[in-house]
Amino acid sequence: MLQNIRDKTQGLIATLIVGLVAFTFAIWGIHYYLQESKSSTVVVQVNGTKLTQDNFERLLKRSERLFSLSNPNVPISDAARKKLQKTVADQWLEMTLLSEAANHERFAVSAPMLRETLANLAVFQEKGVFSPTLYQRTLDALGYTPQEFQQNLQNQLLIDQVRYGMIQSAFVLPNELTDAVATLYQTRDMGYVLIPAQSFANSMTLDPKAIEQYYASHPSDFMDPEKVKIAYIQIKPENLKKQVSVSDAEVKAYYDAQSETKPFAAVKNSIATRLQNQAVDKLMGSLSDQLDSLAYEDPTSLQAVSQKLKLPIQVSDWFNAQTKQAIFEPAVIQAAFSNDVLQQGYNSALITLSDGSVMVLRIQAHQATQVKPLAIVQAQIQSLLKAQALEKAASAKAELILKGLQQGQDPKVLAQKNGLLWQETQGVTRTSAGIDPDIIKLLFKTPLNSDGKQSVVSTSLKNGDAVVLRVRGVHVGDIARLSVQQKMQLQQEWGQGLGEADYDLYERGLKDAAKIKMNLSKDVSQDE
Amino acid sequence: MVEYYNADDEAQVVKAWLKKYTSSIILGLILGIALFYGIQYWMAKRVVTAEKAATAYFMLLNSTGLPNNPQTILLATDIVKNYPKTPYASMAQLFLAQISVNAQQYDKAETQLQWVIGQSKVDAFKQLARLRLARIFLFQNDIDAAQNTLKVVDDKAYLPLIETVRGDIFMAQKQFDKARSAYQTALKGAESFEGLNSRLQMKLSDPRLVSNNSN
Repeated sequence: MLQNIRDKTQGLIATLIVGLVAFTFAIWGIHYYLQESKSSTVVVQVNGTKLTQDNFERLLKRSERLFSLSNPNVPISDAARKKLQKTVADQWLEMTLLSEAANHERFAVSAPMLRETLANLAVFQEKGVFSPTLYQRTLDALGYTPQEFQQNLQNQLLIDQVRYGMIQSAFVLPNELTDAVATLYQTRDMGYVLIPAQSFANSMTLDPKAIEQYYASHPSDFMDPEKVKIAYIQIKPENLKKQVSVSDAEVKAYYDAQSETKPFAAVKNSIATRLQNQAVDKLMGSLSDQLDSLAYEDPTSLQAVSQKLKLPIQVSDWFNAQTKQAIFEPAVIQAAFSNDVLQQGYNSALITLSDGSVMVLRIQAHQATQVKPLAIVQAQIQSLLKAQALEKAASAKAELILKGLQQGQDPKVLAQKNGLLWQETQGVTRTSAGIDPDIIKLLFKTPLNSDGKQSVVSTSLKNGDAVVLRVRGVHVGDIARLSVQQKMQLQQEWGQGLGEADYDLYERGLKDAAKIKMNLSKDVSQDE
Repeated sequence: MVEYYNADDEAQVVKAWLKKYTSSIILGLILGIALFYGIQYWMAKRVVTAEKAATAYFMLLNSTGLPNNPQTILLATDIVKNYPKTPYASMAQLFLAQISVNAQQYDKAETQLQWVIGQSKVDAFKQLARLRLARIFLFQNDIDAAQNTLKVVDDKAYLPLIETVRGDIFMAQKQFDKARSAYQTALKGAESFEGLNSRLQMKLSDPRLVSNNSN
């Protein structure tokens, strides 16, 4: 029977996989195995189930690891970390709520079902067969124990039984399909006039004082982020090669000790390289230790380290926490902006870089977050204010035309008087190309008037232009014009949408009924 | 008090007491043990039943990947028959109702949905069945039945959808003001749901829902 299930579940399981390996799954479920946590601080609580600080941080670490895996060389900014915290907390909450509800409703997952599902996950398969090695490796990489992972899977299966049940059982009745077509395929006729903002550019003057005023009243729009210059001492393995020499005698001794079968001359060079690498590794190790301990002994300066190790102190250029440059690997940036280095002014701990080199660093210069000087942002403010003024002028003109139309003036004449062109368009659909989507949105949003008069409305577009339009006619969509295939597809999509609405409200009902506590803002602010 | 009795007296009292109550104690113990194991057995059996039902339901879900799969009816009917007290029976009935609707067997669909309303222990499932049933009644032009079905609210979270179907019923009755107001109530509750929200917006763009107040 299970073989049967295995064959039939492929499709369902395949759709699960994305959710399993991606973000959601990575952060889910730890609390089941770590309830013995010592930390009593509760970050999230839903009904009786608590997520403690310790476990929250573990989930967070896992999602940070995932973040780094998918965005190598991008340091996680403070803002991104806060966002991640919120996401982790929200997802834990949602998953806990939904799986506990399914459990409470007496949905179940059997052990063989779980085993079979796991064995059929494509991420753990090599050449179509479940690979225990790959399974273990993936779990290790994400910091899962097998029990924890299986608990995740079980919860996911619980949740999906309700979800799929609600969504896939939805249906659409013939009258509903007719109505759907009537609205979806509705077309409208309109007349409209476009008022380009740029047409007011020549008559526009900008008061220089306005720029200063704007600058003074919007300081937060013009912030320069916190920046540092670091002083650092770096040891690169390749620089050590010059300091290490391997004598012929050493090579010979090594050759003799290994009792190689090949003649000495043939392997001499490769042995020399091998010995040199070993020597570099050894030297690198001892220098790293010295670097680390010297920098720690006198944490307020790098001078002593530099003198004792005879290594130069280098100074970087300015950079901020978001800088992306080769030398500023995430580890370097993280160290530079850490509490010990930035606030306390100490040397950093030893940092190992991706090329194998090591470094310690300290702050050379620091510039706090500050407002950029007016001279630098002047042009930016000027174009902003100009755009605002142009938009205002365009929409004032639109108001004028709107009033004229409402008073019964002829649109063509009115537009012409203002140097504009009144256009008439028939049969506009919700997805018509060649017309600004904002105009279409307004057209379909505007109700007809009950007294048979045509509605006139105006709006501003994203580019600052204004538009005045009149709805001239509405034609409902006709199902008879759809092909059988179109009808079937629409029925499928419409039903799916209905089922999703059913499920959305189910989820909201659970949320409304649950006792939920979130202590996140405190944690986010405490986080260093 | 105890100090007034000597040890013999005490033993006598205990013996007499034991003699009088031995049978009751034994009976109590047996009952207690039976109850304990009974509950254990019952709970274990319920778990086994739930897991068997889950396995059957898993097969059902996967059979629905193919449209009009005859296998689906068999699997769903079996679940309703074999595991009527599990939530899987309600889910199976929802799938059977879908198949009935697609086969234009609306009476059958009504019975299946009524089963969920009557038997399910989950309010959300009952409400879901009510909404679907009301829509079938509406399609059959049985306005009263549709309205009555929606009168009982099992799960208030579904109010946006209930109001949506009520709006549809008003549309069928050509009571456009009431329809618009029902859709607008629904829209307020559906703000955070993109799909439902855009559907309601579309419904409100129906030319029959003309505005009373001119711009």
